[in-house]
Amino acid sequence: MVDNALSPLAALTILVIFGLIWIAFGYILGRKNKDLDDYMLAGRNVGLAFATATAMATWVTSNTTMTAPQVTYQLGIWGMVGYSLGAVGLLLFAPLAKRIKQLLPHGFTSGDFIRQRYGNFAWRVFLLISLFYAFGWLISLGMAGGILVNALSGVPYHIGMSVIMFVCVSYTLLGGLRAVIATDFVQTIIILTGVIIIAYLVITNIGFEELHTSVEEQHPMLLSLLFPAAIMFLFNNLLFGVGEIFHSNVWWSRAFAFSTNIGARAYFIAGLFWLPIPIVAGFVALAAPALGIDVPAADMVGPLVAGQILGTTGAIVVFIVVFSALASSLDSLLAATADLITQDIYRGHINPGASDEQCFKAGRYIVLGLGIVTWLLCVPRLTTLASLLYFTGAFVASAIWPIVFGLYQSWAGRKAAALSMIAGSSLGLLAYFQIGFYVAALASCAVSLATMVIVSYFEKATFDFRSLSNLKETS
Amino acid sequence: MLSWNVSDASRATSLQQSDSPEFSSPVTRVVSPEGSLTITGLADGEYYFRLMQADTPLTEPLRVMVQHHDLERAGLFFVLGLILFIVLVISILLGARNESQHHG
Repeated sequence: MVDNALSPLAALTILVIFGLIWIAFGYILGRKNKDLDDYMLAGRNVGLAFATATAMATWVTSNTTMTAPQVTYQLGIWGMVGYSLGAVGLLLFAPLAKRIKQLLPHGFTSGDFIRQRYGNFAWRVFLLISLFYAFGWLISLGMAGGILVNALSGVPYHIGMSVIMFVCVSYTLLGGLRAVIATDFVQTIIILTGVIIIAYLVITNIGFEELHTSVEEQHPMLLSLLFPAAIMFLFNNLLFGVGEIFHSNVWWSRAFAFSTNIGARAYFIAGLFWLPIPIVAGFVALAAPALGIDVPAADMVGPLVAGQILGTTGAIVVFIVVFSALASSLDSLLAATADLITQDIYRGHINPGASDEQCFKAGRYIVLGLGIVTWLLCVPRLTTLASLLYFTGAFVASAIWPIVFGLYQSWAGRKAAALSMIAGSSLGLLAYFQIGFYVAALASCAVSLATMVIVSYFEKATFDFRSLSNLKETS
Repeated sequence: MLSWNVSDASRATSLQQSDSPEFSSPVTRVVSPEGSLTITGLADGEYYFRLMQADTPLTEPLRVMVQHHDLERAGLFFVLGLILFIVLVISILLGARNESQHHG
């Protein structure tokens, strides 16, 4: 049995201190927000340093720091490598970010593009996928907060989860995207520093030899390069990451927010910086057998190992790093999802004539509402982090081809886009339940591609991209 | 993932794992009062598990079969994934190149 690495009091004290700092940040930065462009898109002129930091910090989620170890603990070496292929999504989004900014200089959301490009039906299918994914990710982040605090300090899951949700919702509500990006910058520095420290401590506390021997003895398949599920996982995870980034308003809102000519470089650099982080996080999980740690649920392996090896000081470092990773993603997701709901549901469906002022106000209520709904869905702790996350892969990977072909190819048709998302999601879900979580995104992507190409061939569409630049802010 | 009831959880000190029902040469794993343990990375085969209280068995042996996916099937998924990735990269590169020619 492992004693808690942190006392409950220490854990809650750190949470309260960081929480107050982040909320103060949100309040101070929020006072600069004068209009909807400021609140939703930080004034559309974010520079390279902040752009890179926010892209990297947002993609370093609690999933990176907790699901990467879980996947390594379940799928071994290829699990670790496969998880780091999530960087490919950021790298490939670099040229897309440039294209998005160019095509839609006044755009607000990914939904804006899909609606203009493919019409209302495809837009609504896309919104369903996008919102489903957003909630899945929000829940996984909320849960991760509770699991982290519980694994390191024994503080009950519901208390840790509630405190973290409260802090993140508060500063996002107060500061909008400006606060999100500024806190991301600070969190990036914390994450990078912490990961280097943790990696160094793991390697010096447990040698490679001992680590290798224990894993080989107790979990032999984890070291096998012919572990079938892990081989299936590799490209599934790559395509899942691509699907997440390509479709999600978290990344589109940043593409709109970054200054002209910044987006491509920021995403590319962020992808390179992100790549080693899941390798380090995953590596930590392989130390569990050598340390004799019992792992009640696979998503607890990361903080359990870190807490054991690193003692109280190290546990505090881990706690701060994971909290930063979690907060930097939770705030981005809250902000971007609220933007999507404000622009595409509130202004798009409920109140089409809504002014920017009304949307500004609605946006704040929506952030609060999202926070409450997420909290309610986190309470029952339905599944593990990886299972929840990869469930959404069946949906998001279906949106890759409508986005890529939609941005570059005039032949991509409206019916094709809608059908490819529906078919991809359906078959992806089937693959998830029939085979496993490690193939859902891949199946979805394959079916979506075939549907997109075949239906577009019969549709014979020709789209004029110049019509996108006519998209006005208030349309 | 293996789980057991609260009463056993409070008394169990370890979990034994063996590839024979007689528990010859068992692997012993530590357990916590959480009442569950996740074991990963086992090779194909038959395994037996039982909870122990010090040196005394606390439960009847549980038989678990581990059977991984067929390697050929895994290879097919890998190749499919690789093809999709190559198509994706080419699509983006061609699109970006046409865009820069158009604007250049």
